Amino acid sequence: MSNASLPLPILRKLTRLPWVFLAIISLIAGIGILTLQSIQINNVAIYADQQLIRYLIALAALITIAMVPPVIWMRLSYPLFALAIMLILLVPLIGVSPPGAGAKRWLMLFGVSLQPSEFLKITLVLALARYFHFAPANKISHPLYLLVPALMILAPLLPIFLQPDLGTAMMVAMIGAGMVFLAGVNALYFITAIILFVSALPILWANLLPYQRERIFTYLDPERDPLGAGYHLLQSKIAIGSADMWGKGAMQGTQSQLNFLPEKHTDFIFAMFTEERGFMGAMGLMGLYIACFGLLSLMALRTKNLYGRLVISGMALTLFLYVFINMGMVMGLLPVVGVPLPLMSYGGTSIASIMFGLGIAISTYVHRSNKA
Amino acid sequence: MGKLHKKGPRLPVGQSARGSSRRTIAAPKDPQTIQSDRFTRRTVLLGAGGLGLFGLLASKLHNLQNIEGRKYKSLAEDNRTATRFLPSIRGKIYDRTKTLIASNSQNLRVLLIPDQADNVATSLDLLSRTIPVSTRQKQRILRIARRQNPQIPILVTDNIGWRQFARINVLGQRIPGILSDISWRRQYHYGEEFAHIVGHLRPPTKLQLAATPAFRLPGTLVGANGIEQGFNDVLQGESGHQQFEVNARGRNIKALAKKPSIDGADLYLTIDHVLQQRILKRLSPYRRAAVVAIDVNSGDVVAMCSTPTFDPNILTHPIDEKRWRELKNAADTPLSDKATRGQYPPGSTFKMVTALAGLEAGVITPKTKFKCTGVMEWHKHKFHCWNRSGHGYMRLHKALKQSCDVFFYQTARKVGIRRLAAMALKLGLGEVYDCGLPGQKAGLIPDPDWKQVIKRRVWFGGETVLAGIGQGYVLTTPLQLAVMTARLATGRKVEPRLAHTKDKAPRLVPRKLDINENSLKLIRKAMTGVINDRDGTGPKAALGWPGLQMAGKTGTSQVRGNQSIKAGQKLEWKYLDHALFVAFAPASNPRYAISVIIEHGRSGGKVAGPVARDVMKMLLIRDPVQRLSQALLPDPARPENSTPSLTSKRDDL
Repeated sequence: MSNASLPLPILRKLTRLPWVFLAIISLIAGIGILTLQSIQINNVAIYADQQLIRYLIALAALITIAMVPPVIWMRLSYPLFALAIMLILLVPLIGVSPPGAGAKRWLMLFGVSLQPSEFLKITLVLALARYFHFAPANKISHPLYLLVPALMILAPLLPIFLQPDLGTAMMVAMIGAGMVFLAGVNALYFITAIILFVSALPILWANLLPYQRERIFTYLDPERDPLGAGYHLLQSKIAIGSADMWGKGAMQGTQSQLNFLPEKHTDFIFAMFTEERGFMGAMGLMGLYIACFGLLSLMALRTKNLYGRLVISGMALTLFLYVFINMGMVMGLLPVVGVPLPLMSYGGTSIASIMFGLGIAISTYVHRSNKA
Repeated sequence: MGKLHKKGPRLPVGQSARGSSRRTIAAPKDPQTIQSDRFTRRTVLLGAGGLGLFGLLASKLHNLQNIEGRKYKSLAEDNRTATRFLPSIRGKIYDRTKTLIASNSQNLRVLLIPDQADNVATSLDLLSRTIPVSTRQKQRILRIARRQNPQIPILVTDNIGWRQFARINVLGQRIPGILSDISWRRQYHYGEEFAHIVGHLRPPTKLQLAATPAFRLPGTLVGANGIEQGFNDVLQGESGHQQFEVNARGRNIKALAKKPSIDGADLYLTIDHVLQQRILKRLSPYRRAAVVAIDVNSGDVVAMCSTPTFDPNILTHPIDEKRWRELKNAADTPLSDKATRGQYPPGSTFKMVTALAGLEAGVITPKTKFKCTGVMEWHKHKFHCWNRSGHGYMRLHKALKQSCDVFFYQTARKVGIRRLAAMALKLGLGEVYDCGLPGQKAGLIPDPDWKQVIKRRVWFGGETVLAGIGQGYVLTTPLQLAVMTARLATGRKVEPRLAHTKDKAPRLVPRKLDINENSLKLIRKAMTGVINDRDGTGPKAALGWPGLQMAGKTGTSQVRGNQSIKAGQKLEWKYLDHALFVAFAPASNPRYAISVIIEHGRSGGKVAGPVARDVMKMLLIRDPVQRLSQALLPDPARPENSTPSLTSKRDDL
């Protein structure tokens, strides 16, 4: 508290970096790269090589971002969020469909394809954290003060809904709600919301389109349509279920090697990993993720200013939702929605936005004794 | 903290200040502290909730791998491997002259598996650069692709040329969903000549599928009827299979296990297609008729015709439904083989059986005389001779030549039904031959036991009398009559043979029958007399070749029971008597035995006789043993050893 106004020397900052946490996310990313090694085209593991380079660049970027005082990130929070919403709005106009998917989810900008929805989740965390940081603590439960965060959450929801990308929309809503909850808004709001949602379910069901219902049926029983909508899930369950305690070994997974498993380098990488490494491998990976969330929570608790706390815990929440939804979907616990497994799935936008968000979170942690 | 200090002055100083300050922190907390505490609490709450959800994930993982693991393991194996069947190629069928009768024509096809095509229409467009695909074809395929299981191949075109086939083999690899294959289609040459003998193919029945799992191979056809059915095991061969590791597109990644297929063996018929052609031509004036010709030394059936006939190519899968229905409902039952499935009362052709039974039993001798007055009365029943005015006193030789019914009534009466039936069976009647021809009818050689069991009536003596002239219950097939004649001609237990797998027929010498050779000689002599003596019933069957005689027996069997007809009454065709003739030649050294039946032909001697004569001439001229045709045929214009010219010469028969 004594040197509050003085900037920290760079070496001091480096020693305050959460090295254990960085080691754990690098371990997860390394596992992801090793798993991607199993996909080889003409004996070249193109996915793994690209992912390795991307991760190293992203890690360097993360450390650089963490060195920058959080004040700067706090000031950039709203502009970045506005940029993300703009990109989201551009998707229906100039967006492209990822191969194999019907919906437009990608943007091609300056020769780089990116998924604005990934970026949006991170910037939403930043924007909400900034809002609650400056909101008077005794008034945040007042409906008038909740209007702004509600708008922040709802504004991107509509275009995402129209893409249509139900999975991302649900995730954005949950991240937003989680942030509001962590900011300390009266719990009655949440209890009321849950009660309203549950009682609205029958009405929602009645208004669903037949294909949407079919999706839900297929989720409940993938064998209903093994070659159609349930194909992804069934093949994924076969890949996971057919692995033993220690798995079939690297490049020995029949489901992934013979291309029965779709999207195995992106959304279904957990199925490929489990097929190769078995029950123990999957449990180990889950353990690493839990350690990752645990460390983030501890970091949040040790950071004293609200912006930092909310950014760190918001990132923990985002990562958790990614991991839970992805694993749940791959194992048939949740409906199949396009959500990658953070740090494992192949994909530039995913890695970049997560490492960016984590960079800002770590920046607030590194600078925690400084009042932002 | 700064705000708290401002409130300080209102409170007392010292210890109380300390205590009250503690109280202030506890009771009306400042909003930021509340927020901070809430954050801590809610982080822990969310963390606990997150851990709980991870517990859910772990339990699901455990469930998938450890509880349902076996199911998913087998599903993974099912995914990974695909079995392609390797069909065996069915053996070919040749006739006696090594002429192809049934073969397999290659059908080069292009197929499309919708499941493996990204887009059926695109694949067809790509294909149309190599082979023409019309708009109509395209629409048809698209329509089928929408309707049926996408994994079942759809036929795009068949009967394409080798050049196109080779091109598809190379290019088709790059068009998703397109593949080429070779299918075999059974083809029958001389179809009409061999329709009843060779049979045809059809998909296996449920019963066959249950008995032979190999038949489940898609596209398997098995023999239906005829040699195709009887020798199916030989012809079919054994299908193999190849196991592949396949990827999700169904493309083969690598071969795992292979069991090669074993092609079916070729089969050689004892039938001669030229004879079949000629005999069918000779039978063409008659609505329903059958001829069987047997080599008496080997039992080889050299000709077996049933008319009307049909083209078995119609019945071969895929069946021509409309024409099949026509055939099935046709008046003269072309589908039914009259030679082996037609059961006719043998009439007077049975008299050799009665005579031999009498001689063997000792109830008659060559010298035994019976008086024929045109009718025999017995137990208040009248049994008429065909010759109403009577034959007078008859001995065996003359009775057989003139086919005197009364003589054989008397003989049958004396010998009794059991000894009569025993002789009939000994001569091969009432029997289904083990010659690989399914569906043969056994005919009927009645005896009291049969009547008791089937008809639940006692046997009457009058029925024995009728059986003595091949009427009453007695039924025989033309094949049986030919076998009977062959046995009479050789005194050996000739068994008919239709096919063998060796290129050269294995030589068979049938064992001798337990019948007195003298008795047989008497019969043969009388049969020679039937045709060649002036008082015989079959002079029209005489070959007319000096030095080469045919022996035979006429038969005119009643269709309408044994009630007599009123003179001058015009009978419907279907009530007319059947005309039969059995014969062997050369009489002195038998080589061939034949039986002829012309349904409702009225007279054995006048109608069946000339047919038998012409058939026998054809046989003798086609005989491969040249001594017969060279030494015995009287034709001065006969060319040397040259069968083709001989056949052309004989086309006028």
